[in-house]
Amino acid sequence: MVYNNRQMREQTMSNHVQIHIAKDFSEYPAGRYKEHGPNSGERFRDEILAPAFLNNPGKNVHVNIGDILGYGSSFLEEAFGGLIREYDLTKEDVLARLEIKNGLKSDRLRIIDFIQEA
Amino acid sequence: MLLKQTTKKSIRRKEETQKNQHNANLDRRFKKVHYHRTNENEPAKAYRKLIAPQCLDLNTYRGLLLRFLYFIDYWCLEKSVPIMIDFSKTVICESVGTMLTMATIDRVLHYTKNEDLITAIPPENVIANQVFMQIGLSTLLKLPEPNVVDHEDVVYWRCVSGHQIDTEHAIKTLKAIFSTYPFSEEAKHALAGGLTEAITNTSMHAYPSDDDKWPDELRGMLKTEHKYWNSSSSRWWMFAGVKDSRLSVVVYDAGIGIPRSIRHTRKDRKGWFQELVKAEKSLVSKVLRAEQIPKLDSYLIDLAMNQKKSRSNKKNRGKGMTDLKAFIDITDNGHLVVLSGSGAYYYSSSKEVSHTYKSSMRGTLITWSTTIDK
Repeated sequence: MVYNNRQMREQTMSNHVQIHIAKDFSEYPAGRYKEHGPNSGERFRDEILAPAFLNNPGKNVHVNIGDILGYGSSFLEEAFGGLIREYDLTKEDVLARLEIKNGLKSDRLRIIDFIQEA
Repeated sequence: MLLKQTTKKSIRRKEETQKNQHNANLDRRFKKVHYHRTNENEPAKAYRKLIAPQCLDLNTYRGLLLRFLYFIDYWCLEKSVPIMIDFSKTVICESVGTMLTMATIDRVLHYTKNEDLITAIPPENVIANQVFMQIGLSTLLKLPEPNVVDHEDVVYWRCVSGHQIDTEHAIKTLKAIFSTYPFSEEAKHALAGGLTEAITNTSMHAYPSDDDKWPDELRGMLKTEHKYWNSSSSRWWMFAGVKDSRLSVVVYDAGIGIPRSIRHTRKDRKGWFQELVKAEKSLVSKVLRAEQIPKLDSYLIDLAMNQKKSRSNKKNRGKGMTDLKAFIDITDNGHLVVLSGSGAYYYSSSKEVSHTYKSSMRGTLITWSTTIDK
């Protein structure tokens, strides 16, 4: 799913973009690369997360990680760490604009770690 | 002193002889040919009869169970000979052993796409029979199913399988258990995260494809095993159940195993191994000679569990192994067991040990277990 749907258009009017992984992507995110399954971190990054950053310069990106039972490191690392490796985005820019909502504190901290270590 | 040594030697020799005799008897029993006539007008078909162990128990009867499973592979895949498995004397179905048996049969049937290759006689024991039905083994083997599954140790057994990283069924199975038994949110997420990562590892590492750049010495082995891998047999199996107020969640794949996966990197294998040894000197109790390395499956699993580095040798990879431990770190009485090849790794809040068995198993088996409050 490419993230250019109705919600995205509505959100362009506000000062931030919202992404709800369970609703906008999958309730069962897992795996690193596209070839290993349909709900991989690579696919989430390329189709939803990266466009949200690149198509909305200057706007914050709110990612809701709630309503999902358990994230594997492979998914989170490839999605968030890969954002720095694969796209023309800096750690500082991503960390300043990214806001992780809901979910467990440990998962929120892991995401920050993966971005900083990328 | 001399007498003592001689006695020890003779006892050891006697034990060896008994063991060899026992194995030879088993082999003979497994190799016996039987004939079965399905229709009076057709000639009788030859099949091998395998008598299943009384206890499908990997912990206590590891050698016996692995030998039994080896013969399923041997006759069905190597020789393409139909087999009839006699489970009539099977009375104990331990979760890991039963799942391993189920996975082996499922894998063989998926690979050969021949449903008639394996037939079976169901267990006479009522509980064992219920277990077979509950986990789907009765359906797989077309066995008559009991009318009701009501034994309290069996009702909560769940077994699912899949290929690639499709975790939907696995997570739904966990959710069903979590709806019955109380767990903290952190524990639920940690177990689900570990399970997801274990399934991810199956898809990413357990069944390497032909185009992976493997070292020469491994290519031969892969060619042999590749004969029995295809898209439908590159699978994982998951079991979850509660017995005696203890939750067990098991994930199994029949791939190359952690030791082989981690030992053979794409790049300079020797250099990488030395680098690992240097980095983890505390884990090494003695200087390792090159010829000892292949025997140290448990050591390599230990390294895999404690290193943030994987077969891929990339900085951003190999982080998933720590996910497997997260559930144990949160729960008070949790245990993690990783079995692969001949190695075993045990992790709990109080200890972390590894062990090497004499017998080697195919693939990797990961178990999380913990006591639960009713």
